[in-house]
Amino acid sequence: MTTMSNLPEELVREILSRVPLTSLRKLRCTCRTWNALSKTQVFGKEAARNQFLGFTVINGRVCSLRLGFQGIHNEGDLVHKSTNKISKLDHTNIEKVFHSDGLLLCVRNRSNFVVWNQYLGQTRCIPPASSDFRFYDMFCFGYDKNNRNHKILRFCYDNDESLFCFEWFDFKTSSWRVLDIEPDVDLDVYRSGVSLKGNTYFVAQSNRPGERFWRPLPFHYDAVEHVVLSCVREEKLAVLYQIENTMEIWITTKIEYDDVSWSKFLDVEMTPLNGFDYDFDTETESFFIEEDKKFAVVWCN
Amino acid sequence: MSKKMIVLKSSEGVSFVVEEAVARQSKIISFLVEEFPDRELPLTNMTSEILRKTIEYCKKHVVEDDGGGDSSSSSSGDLKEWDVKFVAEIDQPRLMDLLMAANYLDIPSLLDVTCQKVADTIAACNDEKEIRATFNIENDFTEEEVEAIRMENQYPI
Repeated sequence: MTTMSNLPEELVREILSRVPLTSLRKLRCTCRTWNALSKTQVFGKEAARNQFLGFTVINGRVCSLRLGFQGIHNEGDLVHKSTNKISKLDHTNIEKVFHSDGLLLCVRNRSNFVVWNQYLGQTRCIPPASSDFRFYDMFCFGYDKNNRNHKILRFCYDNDESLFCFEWFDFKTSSWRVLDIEPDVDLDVYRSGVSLKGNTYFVAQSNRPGERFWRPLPFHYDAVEHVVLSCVREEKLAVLYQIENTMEIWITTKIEYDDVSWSKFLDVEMTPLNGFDYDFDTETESFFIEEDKKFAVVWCN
Repeated sequence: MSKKMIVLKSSEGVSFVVEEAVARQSKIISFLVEEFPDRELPLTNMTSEILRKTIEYCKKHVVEDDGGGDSSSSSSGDLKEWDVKFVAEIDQPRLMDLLMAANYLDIPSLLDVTCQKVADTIAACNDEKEIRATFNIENDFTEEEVEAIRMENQYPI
């Protein structure tokens, strides 16, 4: 007799991929195998054969980006891109979105924030922060390890005052609080951070490394705009470094509060791919890794 | 013109005589029929009960080419409704056997409806305990681990 436990893994994957996101918690609590599978699997019926990449804003509406890799076994395009408007998030005039760990922050009309839970489909309005949204503001999600109390970190640069400012929103108290910390004067944050297990990481440059929150990258870099972070299966951090026609990607082998180690995942020499006699001048916006299959998808702007 | 029939044999040795067009919905059988024409096909890992169910499904889904192009024996709406009823009437253990049969015989549409039925059953369970009981899954977590996963999957909204 066939039982769930002796079903081949590919069939269990197929079944789990059809279970709606709202069942994620009970599904992960069922057994070790399902918990592990659920971390490499995209849920929701329509996503069954696609990999989820992220969110973007097109004409003021939030769209999800999905990449399908079916082409690997067939002839034709390797990657199929699809963007779908998220009907549940029926807000217009969205300026920017920040996504991590199943939560999506949408910024609209400068001081109006909405958070959407990708798994449960619920939304919550966030009160305005201490100052209006500026285009270069960055937001990240994180949470306390012990009670999983979620927070949003806002990082902004005030051009008029030439000042950095940090503030965080506490979901429990539903209030913003300005953080009274003095960042490095030369701190240069270029891209949104990524969240992993409650912590937020972003690439920054400083003349004073060795700070409390500072973790070194496995390579030397001149400018932060050449470095992009990503997450691998909610477990590891990945970093991409691209300059001219070379690209390298590293992933963490260990990431703890005071100890980070890296190993090289991929080295890409892009000259032959380019086919033209000039450098790649595109800038990597985001990237995505399939660790087991040893490939990376890189999103350029 | 009489239709070509083929013989499928279950693990208990029971023979089922089926129209070729019906059986050819299985990509595996389709292949075997071409390789070994006019021969009985033994399906040693399928019980008579499951084979009968599979044939019932294939009969309903057969697309008859009557010269006027493809025309399904039922309209697609009716067929969907029939599929839902078909899997609803099967109990849990047999549904898993049927799912395996669909996989083994390579019948994509049957695999699709059986996988969906299992997924719907999972979603309809109230909690992980009900899922384990329904599918006979052993709980290999400690109480603390389940608590940790619950915590991990807790969201502010």
